[in-house]
Amino acid sequence: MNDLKRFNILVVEDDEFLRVAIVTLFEDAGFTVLEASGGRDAFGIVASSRIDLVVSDMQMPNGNGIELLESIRAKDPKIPIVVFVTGHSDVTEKACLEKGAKKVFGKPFNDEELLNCVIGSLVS
Amino acid sequence: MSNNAVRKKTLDSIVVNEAPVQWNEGGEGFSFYGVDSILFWMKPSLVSILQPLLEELGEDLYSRLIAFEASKGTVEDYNWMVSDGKKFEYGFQVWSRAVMACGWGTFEIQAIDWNTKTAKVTIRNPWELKILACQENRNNIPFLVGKMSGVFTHAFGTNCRAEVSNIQKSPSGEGIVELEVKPNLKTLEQALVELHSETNSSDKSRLQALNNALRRNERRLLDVIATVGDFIWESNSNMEISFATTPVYKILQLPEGSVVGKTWKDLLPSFEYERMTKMLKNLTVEDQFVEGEFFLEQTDGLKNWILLRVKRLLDFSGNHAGYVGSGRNITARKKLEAQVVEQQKNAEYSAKMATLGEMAGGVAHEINTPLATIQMVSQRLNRLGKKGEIDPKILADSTEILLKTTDRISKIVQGLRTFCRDGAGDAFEKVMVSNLVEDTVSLCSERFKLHGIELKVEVMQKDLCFEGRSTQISQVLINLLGNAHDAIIGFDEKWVSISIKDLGQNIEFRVTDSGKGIPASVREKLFQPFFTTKEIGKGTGLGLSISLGIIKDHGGLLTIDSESANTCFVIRLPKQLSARMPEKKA
Repeated sequence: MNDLKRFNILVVEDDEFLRVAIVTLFEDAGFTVLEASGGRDAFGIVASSRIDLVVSDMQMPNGNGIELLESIRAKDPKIPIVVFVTGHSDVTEKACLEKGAKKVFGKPFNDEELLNCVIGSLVS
Repeated sequence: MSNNAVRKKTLDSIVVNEAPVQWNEGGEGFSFYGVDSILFWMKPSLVSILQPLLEELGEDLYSRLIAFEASKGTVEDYNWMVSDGKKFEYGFQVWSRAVMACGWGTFEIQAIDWNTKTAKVTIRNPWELKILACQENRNNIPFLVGKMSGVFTHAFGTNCRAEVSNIQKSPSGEGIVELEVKPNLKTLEQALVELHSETNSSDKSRLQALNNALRRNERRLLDVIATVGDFIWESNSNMEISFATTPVYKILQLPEGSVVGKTWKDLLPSFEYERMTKMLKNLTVEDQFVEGEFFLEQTDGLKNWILLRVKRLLDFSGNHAGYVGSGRNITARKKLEAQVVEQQKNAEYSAKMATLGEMAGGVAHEINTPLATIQMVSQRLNRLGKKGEIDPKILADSTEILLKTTDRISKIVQGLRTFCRDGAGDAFEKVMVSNLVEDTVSLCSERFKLHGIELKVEVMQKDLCFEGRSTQISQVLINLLGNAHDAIIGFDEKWVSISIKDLGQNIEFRVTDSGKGIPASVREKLFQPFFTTKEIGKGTGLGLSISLGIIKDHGGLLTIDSESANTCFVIRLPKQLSARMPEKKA
């Protein structure tokens, strides 16, 4: 477990309860977790800190998920990004994959699948 | 020439039915309705145009006027007759043969007395008899009478008048006319002046002519009424119908003869008759009419709607003598109106569903996000529970999150339910403004979030209330928020705000967005049904017109604040029911 501590994961979600739940999931698993409630804050963190993986909602005020994807990709093409969509908006799974998302989850999602996806992306 | 006596005038025009009849010394002849008289002789059917002139002047004066006209130019005829020293009687014969060749008829002097200045002339088959065959009951040939008057006036050297003493004619207009010529001192001008003086007004023929004209007018009036398609009726003050034009039977679909003699009480159902009598109570000013729509059911089950316009009828002393009015079958219009109401209802429903469709994305996200929270929190509890490591604090925190999250979902469902049901038939109830705004915002906040639009809700007094239909007001707010959302979606600065103000008697809701106002040209049409600035397929154009209807139903106002620097819609609602609804829909 301890070796996961070296990975810095950024969780971006505007909904406070869901953000707390996701952060808790990764902290329980042993990751170092940073959090942001919107796209602009998130990019500030990516720009100033070493981030190994980003888990982000796609629909948020203050800079939507697609803009965040583009900004992170422009800065560092290697950081894996895992995103959530509701499946009922103009932000489609296809668009996210095209912009460089590693994996797209539809809300609601299974937490073990999310955790396994993140671990798989970092350890492989 | 004594003809001057005929030609000298003091009057050169009269007015008939507001159309001037003019003649003048230098002109070719008199004109009527601007048509030169010569045309009447060239085209016999046009003579009928002179009918009103005949009615106005009476036979005698009419003939004199025509004769006067015809007597013009007879000096040339006379001069020709006596040219080269011819004797007048001989010259007349020669002239007669010449005009016979033109079809005027055969003129013959039967007797002539130069002392008494009298003569007898016969005319066989005069052309004028044929022309005048179209004018019934006329035994005159004024044109030829005028010709003869003129010729003998010149021959005798004194003002003469020829008069028809006998006329025999077949229906085809052939016949023989006998004329007597004698001196006449009465000029046309004198006759016309007499016509216009009151002393002549008792003239029987003139009265007859007026009477005829009146009958013609009456017939014309009835013809006109028949073309309008309404029926006209008259009743005494007890509503007993004394007169009705015949279309009444067709219009009311009642058997012939079943209206006159009946009262409106017999014809209308009792509740409708009651309404009619109530309506007639408003008829206080004599020249004012009232109108009402009444329902009529025949014994065979036919149902009709009629529009009745009623005016008071006064007798000559100005006392109330009954009623006069018109009636129209408006059943077809009523059916159409009912269809329109039905269609409008459908259109309103479609508009609402379209709004719902636009919100669906936001609503799904709004529900899926808390569902994701619930799933994650319960998966964690489940995992910890299986391991037997649940810390009471973790349990308490987690369940609190679960409760709050489910509460959020139930609020969204509540908002949806409020929005989707048709609130038009709801009773007015006390509505808490804070709850209303919270429910409404929870429905559309996610849609704003999706497009990065900040939705600001100004903190309001908790206990602010009004009486109304919360579903409908919520629908209006969603419509305004949705419009604001769509208007600014492409802007750099994106925000929408709702603010609520307590104005004492009223409550004011303001929905403002970061747009810079609405052009005056668009503002005018904004509340019209089917007006939209959105792309085809994006807007129904009904949102604002429906919203306006709802706010009006609440006795409130929906306006645009054109003073505001940003686009701002203002709803003003009275707090109390009594302030807006004088009567409730039955």
